[in-house]
Amino acid sequence: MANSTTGGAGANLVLFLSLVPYVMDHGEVSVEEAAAQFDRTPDDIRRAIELIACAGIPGDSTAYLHTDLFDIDWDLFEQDDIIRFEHTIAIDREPRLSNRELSALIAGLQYIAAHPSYGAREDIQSLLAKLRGSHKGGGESLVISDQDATNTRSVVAQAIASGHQVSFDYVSRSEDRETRTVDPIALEARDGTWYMRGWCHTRQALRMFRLDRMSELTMLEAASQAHPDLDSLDSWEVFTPSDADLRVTIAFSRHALPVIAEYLDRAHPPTEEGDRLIAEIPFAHTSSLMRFVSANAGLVEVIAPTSARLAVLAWAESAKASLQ
Amino acid sequence: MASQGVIRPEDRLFHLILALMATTQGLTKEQILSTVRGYREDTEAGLAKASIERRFERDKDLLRELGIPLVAWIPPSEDDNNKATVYRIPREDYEPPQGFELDAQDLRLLNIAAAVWREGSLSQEARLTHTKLAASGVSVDEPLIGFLPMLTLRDPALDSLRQAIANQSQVRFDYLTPGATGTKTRTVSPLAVVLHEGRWHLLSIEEPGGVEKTFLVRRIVSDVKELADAAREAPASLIEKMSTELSDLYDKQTAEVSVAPGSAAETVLRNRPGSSSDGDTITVHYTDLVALATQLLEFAPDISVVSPPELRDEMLAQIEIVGVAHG
Repeated sequence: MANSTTGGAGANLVLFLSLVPYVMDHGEVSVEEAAAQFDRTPDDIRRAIELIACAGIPGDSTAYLHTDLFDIDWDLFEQDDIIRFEHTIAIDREPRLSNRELSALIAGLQYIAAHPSYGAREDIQSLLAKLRGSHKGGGESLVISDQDATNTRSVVAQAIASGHQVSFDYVSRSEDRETRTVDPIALEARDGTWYMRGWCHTRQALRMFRLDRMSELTMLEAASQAHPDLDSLDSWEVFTPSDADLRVTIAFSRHALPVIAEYLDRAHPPTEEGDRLIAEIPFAHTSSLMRFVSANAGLVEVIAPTSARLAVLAWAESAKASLQ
Repeated sequence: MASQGVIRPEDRLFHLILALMATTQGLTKEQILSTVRGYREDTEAGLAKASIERRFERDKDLLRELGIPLVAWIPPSEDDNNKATVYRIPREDYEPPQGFELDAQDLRLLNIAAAVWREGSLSQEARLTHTKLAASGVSVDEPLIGFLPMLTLRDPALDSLRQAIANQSQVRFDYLTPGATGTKTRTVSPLAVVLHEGRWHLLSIEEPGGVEKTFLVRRIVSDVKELADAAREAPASLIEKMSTELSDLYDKQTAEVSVAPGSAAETVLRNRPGSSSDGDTITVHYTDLVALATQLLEFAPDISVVSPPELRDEMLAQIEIVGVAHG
């Protein structure tokens, strides 16, 4: 995932400060190796080394004399693409992790530990203790609190690890309930919501299933099929807009923008109309539209199409009736 | 060393760090601006002093943000003369702390933990962490098998809140009471952000009066403005106490809801942590009554509320608002 535009002076500075002790520890190291280690392009590394090799301190003379500068074996660098320092200045370790970084790492580990197999691991618990011991600035500013409601995560994790199919009752977004047989591929946690990715034999398709919509989950005797083509898990999306979507025009107050930002289509930013904003939002089903409207009561209004507006009214009537 | 063309900011910052680490008695601002590469060239070129000094201030802020300790003090002999302030980076605070040793497995786990953060400023921050960890030379590319944890921290308020927490400043924002259309401006000392019940919460001390207060981050509907006022001092244990209170509240508070058999409501409500059921009636736990009402509305025609009556009232109020808006 090397990316030469990964940017900012801060990112480059941290690269210089980390590259120096890395090369010092190794004595000599190829540009290619360093690029792989730091997840940068070889050119990024070469540029960094050229800059470091000319850097130094003003020194007593304030003239940046040779003895106050870094130096590398230039022949080795230019001919063989290998880095070796002849002389280094002032630094010999990488900068420590900041309190912000420590708190993000602690929270990240807590999140990973919500997976049943990771939560039980001693190495994670001892590392958490180590990080907390080194975190001096007050309490942790990021906290992840997540509990496994049922043993769903454990069963799915076990089935993935042992390569078995699972079967369960599933209520989909469009409210149909059906027993599914699935080759589980991965457990996925997104901001506290847990999903299972898998190949659904019932539908003969890749699907994401929300764990909280499953019941009667069991691991089957049958082995999962291999799905080598699905190695690149990152390429999946939870919700892919399609032509079949219900496209609804929504009006909302400017205040509500952060609350509903996640629904907005990035390609079509909202337009202003008086003191409100107007946007067209795709929904997979009428039920997702109702969920959106009810979750944002008072913040959003369905403008068009008329059928959607009437559906909202009908929903409100029947919801009221069932509650009274 | 000859200067060629424009000196890049990272070049200047790197030289600043080297100079401040090499000095034992510290360097004054005058010394820095007239000798350190990147400043010296501009000083010699006759650039306005005020603008060079502003750049120095920004550079100091950036170093601190990166976790690089920069200390400033006035030597006792100088009698509170601000101009005599000297700067230095103490090696013992710059390097990883003594006794903080990470083995190869620790490093692999930390890289996985850093990679949890997707999108938002934390993913940028995670890249810096990855770079620092890579300095150890341990090969760190070991993906999790069959597990994809990600946190997006998409809400812009979270970034500002974390920044303010790091700077120990108070913040001000407009907060929306769920179900109502009005907002109220709040001023608080932010302590921590907590992911609880799948929602981000802000733990804080509210002004005036210094009252402990927890907010739902998604109900912050304005920019989070960082104030010049310093945040109230709070013991580290307060964060733990307030996040435990959130979980305790969830454990303690229950509502009874009847569900249509076979509905999505039945499955989802049974699957909530701590739920129990008696026939078609499910007892669910909750942290915040208004947030629970909003969650239950999704299943509205398939459920009815047995208790508490306030939950039904809140749901009806939210439905009324939807009805009026579309009538």
